[in-house]
Amino acid sequence: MKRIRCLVSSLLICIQPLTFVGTVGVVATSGCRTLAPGGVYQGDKYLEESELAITTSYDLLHTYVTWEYQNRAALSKWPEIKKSADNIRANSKQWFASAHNLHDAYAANKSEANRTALNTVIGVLRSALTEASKYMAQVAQPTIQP
Amino acid sequence: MPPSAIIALANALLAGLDVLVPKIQDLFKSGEISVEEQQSIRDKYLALRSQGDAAFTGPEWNVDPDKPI
Repeated sequence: MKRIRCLVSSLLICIQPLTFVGTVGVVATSGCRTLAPGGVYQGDKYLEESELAITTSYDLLHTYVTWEYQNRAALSKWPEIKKSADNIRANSKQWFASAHNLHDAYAANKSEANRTALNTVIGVLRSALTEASKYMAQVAQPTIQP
Repeated sequence: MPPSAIIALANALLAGLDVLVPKIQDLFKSGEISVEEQQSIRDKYLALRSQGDAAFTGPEWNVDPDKPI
């Protein structure tokens, strides 16, 4: 029953608009699967999910800034996209450095405070992904020519 | 929207799906995340970290925000 609930909730995440990162929720989870004993995470599912979230966030943000960079002229009618991509460019290095530092802090001391801090920085990455998703969906919306 | 932008968007969407589809597939896998899968996740994470600032040195990361389009 628990597994069914888990799959249903996962599906609800997945069937959100399947835009570039419309399934942002997916990036930070490997579903309801548990960790096999003897792995590098030593049973710490949160640590595994946070590492997965960080690498996936990087991949998706990289895709977004690359897309914006390669299509600046075509996207100029949406100045908010340039602003958003520039903001991601300006801050990503710091965001990921913070994520790595807070990851290390949590790995060294799995306190609730360290977990909360890591959650916060992953939330920042997720917000950036949500914004990227919104703008890509906006461009993908066809317009009706008069 | 010009056709080139539509094609570029489609390419970007496909690139994004390349990342997302395996994650979605993972949701439907049953059982445990194997030791090998855990190692793969860790390796990818460490690979990103090992790049350091180099992960942000491509031209796509270094656009002058004040440069007119």
